[in-house]
Amino acid sequence: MAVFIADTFAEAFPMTATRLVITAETPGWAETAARVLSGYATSVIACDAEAGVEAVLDRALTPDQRPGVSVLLFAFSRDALEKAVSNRVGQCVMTCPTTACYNGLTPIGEKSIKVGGRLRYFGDGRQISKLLDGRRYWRVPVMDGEFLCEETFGTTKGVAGGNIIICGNTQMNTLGAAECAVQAMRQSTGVLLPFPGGIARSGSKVGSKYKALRASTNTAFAPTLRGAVPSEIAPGADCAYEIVIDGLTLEGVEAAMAAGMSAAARCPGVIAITAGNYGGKLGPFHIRLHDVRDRYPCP
Amino acid sequence: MSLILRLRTPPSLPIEAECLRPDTLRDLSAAEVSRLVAWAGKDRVELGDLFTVERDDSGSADLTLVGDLSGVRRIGEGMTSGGLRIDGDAGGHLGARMSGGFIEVAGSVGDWAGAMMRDGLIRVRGNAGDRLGSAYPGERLGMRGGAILVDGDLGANAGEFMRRGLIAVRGEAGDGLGANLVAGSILAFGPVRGGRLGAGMKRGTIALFEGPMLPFLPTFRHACRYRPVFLTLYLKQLQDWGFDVPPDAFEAEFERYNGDLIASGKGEVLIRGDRHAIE
Repeated sequence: MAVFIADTFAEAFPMTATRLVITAETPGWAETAARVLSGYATSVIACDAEAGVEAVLDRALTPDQRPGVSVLLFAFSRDALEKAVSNRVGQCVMTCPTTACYNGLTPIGEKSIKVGGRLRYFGDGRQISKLLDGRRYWRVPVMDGEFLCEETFGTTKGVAGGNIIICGNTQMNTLGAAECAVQAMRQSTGVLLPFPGGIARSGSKVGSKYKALRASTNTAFAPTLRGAVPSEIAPGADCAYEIVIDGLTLEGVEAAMAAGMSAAARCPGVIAITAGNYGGKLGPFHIRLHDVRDRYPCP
Repeated sequence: MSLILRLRTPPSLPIEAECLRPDTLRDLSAAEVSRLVAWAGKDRVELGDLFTVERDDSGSADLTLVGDLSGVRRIGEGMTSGGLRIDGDAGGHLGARMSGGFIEVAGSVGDWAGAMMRDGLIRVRGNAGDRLGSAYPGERLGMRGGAILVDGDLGANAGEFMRRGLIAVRGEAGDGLGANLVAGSILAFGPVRGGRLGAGMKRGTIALFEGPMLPFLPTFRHACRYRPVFLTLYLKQLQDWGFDVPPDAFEAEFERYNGDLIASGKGEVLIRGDRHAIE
């Protein structure tokens, strides 16, 4: 049976983004640092940033020719991003054996954030600055030698909140389809799927009956509430999973959504694919599912 | 379109020709360039008396000088942009005080090359004289930016009072390498024959890939053996500039010495671990 693609749109927002390149003596330590840095970073609703591993990098592609990982981070503002990145690099990368951290967005324009420039003070006056080809690096003495961190990182206005919601007949089928979608989406560069394993099981809506809460469960897609509240979950679907996509560019988000829809639609048990929005009243980016399906055909 | 000046005959008197810089000659006609003034000893001469001057579409640089210019000083002095190529040797003070552009010399250069430079790139395929990238007498600081790459040997006191920038040498380096270094980096891929290595250095880095083969000054203290990751960035940049670096240097470990303790002691001398021969 053909999968129903809802004629709706995902509502996305501009967010300030940056890319880090983390290297280490071994691929394992680079990945460890990247994963720890991007922990507790699923949503700016309650985290200081949205973060995740973008790609594993061969040593030939890293500034210091060591194994590396690229990480994307998004935040509401440049100031918020700077604080989040410098805190995370300081606590999660600098602490990790053999690592170094470089800017992954070039050229660095006026809208940049200081990372090494904030962390250098940990060197207690013994830090060393090196300026090479217009880029400044800080060498902070630490117990295993030096932590090398670039002073300034570039930022860009990215797009956050692209999403697809996969509705399926059973939990396991829907989850399997979401996993396939995530795998397809992660082939793209410049995109981040911030939720655990790329998948959100507790999609949210704006507002709550409790004044202290900014967001609450997306009741329209909670299958256990069907019949008790207005429901948007497809008829016959007993489960829904949401995949949120942040990207450095709108095109990147669109292409990832198209790839995810195509992959999910081929999986058994998928009934419908839709997307979440706020009526178009909040976010300037309205990514229509039919439009991206047609503009980014996937095999 | 490139401007090409060919030396008619090697001069018998020292020539001072600070007018030979690509940024100021770029928009001049060959005739206008010929009428520019240089100094032969105490006498004023026109460039046209010393060089044939022509414009050519085939040149790869804005300004090309051809001939044995070892007697011509101050070439490229103060230049701010553009490319200068010398097919031959060049005299002293090449690129002194330059703040942009690049100079490539197929032969050797005299003393004071890159003295007081602020930015730009100098590539010397042959040897360089003394005081490369240094401060002039009476000045507090020498080279403040840019890079100087020497494929051959280096004379004495290279990088003295250097404040920022990069000097790399593939051949032998002479006495007083990095003396009074304020900051910046000196990478020596050949043997360092002279003494007074880093004497009086406040900060900065002297990295030796062959080893000095001489004892250090007693005001340097051994710290540790480790892999300085930042050096890889420099090696990669040198490769991008077409400067040969040993492939096995990328993963080498280095012995680190802190000094000069009679200054601030925040400088470092790094000696490649497998070439360490200090007694």
